[in-house]
Formats: sequence, structure tokens, C-alpha cells
Amino acid sequence: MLFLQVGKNVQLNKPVQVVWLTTANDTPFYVPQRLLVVLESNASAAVVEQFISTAEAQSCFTHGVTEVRLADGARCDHYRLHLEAPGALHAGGVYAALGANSHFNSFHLALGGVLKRIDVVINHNGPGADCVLNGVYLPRENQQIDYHTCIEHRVPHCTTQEVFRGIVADSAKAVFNGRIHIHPNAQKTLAQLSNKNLLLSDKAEVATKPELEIYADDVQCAHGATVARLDENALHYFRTRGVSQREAEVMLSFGFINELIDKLKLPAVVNYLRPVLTQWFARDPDLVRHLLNTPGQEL
Amino acid sequence: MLSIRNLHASVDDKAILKGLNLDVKAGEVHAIMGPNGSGKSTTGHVLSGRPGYEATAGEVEFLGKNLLEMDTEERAREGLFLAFQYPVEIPGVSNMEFLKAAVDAQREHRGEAPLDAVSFMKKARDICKAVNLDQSFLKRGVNEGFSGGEKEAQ
Repeated sequence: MLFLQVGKNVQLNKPVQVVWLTTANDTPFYVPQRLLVVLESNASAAVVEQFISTAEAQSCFTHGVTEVRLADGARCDHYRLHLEAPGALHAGGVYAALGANSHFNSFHLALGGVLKRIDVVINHNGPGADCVLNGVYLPRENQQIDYHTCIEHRVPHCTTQEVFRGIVADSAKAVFNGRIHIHPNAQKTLAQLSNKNLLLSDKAEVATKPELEIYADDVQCAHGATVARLDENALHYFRTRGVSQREAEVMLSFGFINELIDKLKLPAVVNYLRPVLTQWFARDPDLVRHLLNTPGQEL
Repeated sequence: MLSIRNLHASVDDKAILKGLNLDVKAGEVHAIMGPNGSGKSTTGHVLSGRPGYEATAGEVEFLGKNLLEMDTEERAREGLFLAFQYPVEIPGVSNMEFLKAAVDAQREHRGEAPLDAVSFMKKARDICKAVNLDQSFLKRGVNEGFSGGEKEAQ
């Protein structure tokens, strides 16, 4: 249990890192986790949550709930990174309440764990609130990863930009259910939701359902979802430049989510994630040497 | 250097090339001209090994090796290069990463050690300067937002 409160007009100049660590245990165990972040008016903070485990053998079920309350004009950059060992179970969520003219920027990454369900619920409670919600899920082998997001636009002049991308390999499964709900009062809302998925094998499965429910008449909203394989033309293009098929697959898969990774505001998180992600795709370090050796930040 | 003998090729089981013969010696420049649908692009694609373009008869020899038996990437490493008129855009993979992968593959094929990241980046920047390309080019996605000329240069 953790409580983080940032006072009025206080700008934290360093990110707060919260590491949720589970260790191996002989008998199955349950971990209830709770993080409450309260930013008072015009405060700002970056919060990085990491879910990791010390050993491969895990028999834990984690229920992790993160609550974020932003007062008027507050600004929060939030990262929720799931990098547990393959045996871990997780069901949890992020619940945010946004005051007037507040900004909430939330990034989600799900790699580890055999079964995972994350709910993200964001309430626009004050006019002018702005939310950017991005996520990447990469289930493989027999993993299942679910993201259920719900954005409630209750008041006018709020914006939401939501992009989730998934790459599903082997016989893994993913579920994305994204809902944007525009209440009758929420005029002048700008809301966009996009979910794109890449299936790397015949047995990989994804269920995606972008939903837009609009009860106000003066809003701009869009939603969409795609499910596809790697682009054959792009693969061929790599090969005509001498790059092997397997390496091209890894680079293209990485490129698919790199658009979101590159946009992250904290360089430390980008530098931490790039090698983790490239290893995840390649399983063979030799194939990712170009990705690892290219520190994009230095260019 | 490149010798095409009686090449037949089809796309989706439709015969396009019906017995093409061409000899290109080192240092020669050849231009293949013809009306739409006469098989100019097909010739390029068959030589590069594009999926869906099947050589049904004939042979192609490149530097003394049977080209049609090689994988696409092998052909490229041997020195065959196909410039695309409309290359595919690949957002998310930077030109720098792409070029390094291509250069490393070529170097490995020749038995040379891969360039380390720093000297590769320096070289890439120098080449950018030499051909008047802005440095930001290296950070952009492969072929993304290029003008026609930029795409062909790539």
C-alpha cells in the first residue's frame, strides 16, 4: 500500500519509481497492492510503476489497483510496466479522476505473466481535462493479456487520445475492449481511439472491440481497430537490402510498437524498455544487434 | 556478369515473361523499355525474388552463380540491387536502424566485422552531408514522408 500526495503548485523534478516485486514461494500466495496518487491543484509528477518478479517460478496472484486523482490544473505522467515472470497472475486496474484542465498521460506495457487483466477507467470530471492513454501488449506462448479501458466524458471541452497496439505470438491470446462514453453534457469533446494488432502465428488470437457511445451532438470522435499479419511487401523490401527474413520480422515487429515507445517523455524509461523489448521479440540476441546498438536519443 | 536465358515467369499463374534473353557485362548500363504490361517490372521482381513472382523456365546466372536458387537476401548480398519506384513506408523503424542492418548484413557476407554504432553513425552523417540530406533523415521512419527523389535515393 502506497500513498503519494503532491501539494498545491509543487512540481516534482524527478520521476517517482514504484517497484512492485514478487519473490518465489513454495506455496501459492496472494498480493493485494494499492497505489493512491493525489496531485493537488497545479501540481505535477511522473510516476513509474514496475511489476517484476525475482525468480521464474511464481505462484502468486496479484491484485494491483492504482488510483490517480488530479485536482484542477494538475499534470501526471504515469507508466505501468508489467514485466513479471511467466508464471505470475495479475488482475488489476488504473482508476483516474481528472479535474478541470488537468493532464493525465498514462502508458501501459504488458509482457510477462500467464494471465493478466488490466482495467483502465478514466473519468473526465472537470472541463478542459486532457488524457493520453497508450498501451502495448505482447503475449506469447500460452499467455493471455486483457485490457479493458473505459473513458467517461462527463463534462464539456475534454480530450482523449487512446492508442493500444498488440503483437500476439505463438498460441497466445489478447483481448482489447476500449470504450469511450460521451455523456449528454460533454459537448466539444475530442476523442480518438485506435487499436492495432499484429498476429505472428496461425494460432495467435485477438479479440478487439472499440466502442464509442455518444449522447452529445457537438463532438469529434473516431475509433477503429485492425488485425493483420506482418506486411509481406515490407518484409521483401528488407530482404532486397540483404537483411534476413527472421531479422526483418523482428525489426518490423519492433517498429510496430516503437512508434509508441519513441513518444514516451521519460528518456530513462525508453532506454530501459528498448533492450527489454528487443530481447522479447528476438529470443536470439544476435538478431537485435542493430536495435540495441542504435541509441535513438543521441541522434 | 548477369546472364538471363530464356526466362519464363508468371504472376498468380498468369504467364508474363515468355522467353527473355539478356546479357549484361560489367560496367554496362541497360535500359529496358516497353509499353505498360510488357513485363519490365516483372523482370525486376523475378530477379529480386519477390514472393508471388515465379520463374517457370529458363535460367539466370549472376557472377557465375545460379541466381534463381538463392533467397532474396542472398541475391542482395551478392550485389543485386533493386531500386523501387514506390518503396514501402515503414513507420517505427528508423532509416538509421534499417541502413545499419543492411550494411551489417553486407559486411558479414563479405567476412568483415560489423561496424560499431558510433562509427556507423558518423559515417551515415558524413554521407548525409555529402549528398545534401538533412541529418533528421536518419531518425525518420524508413521511406516515411519522402519525396519521390528521396525515395529513389534510399
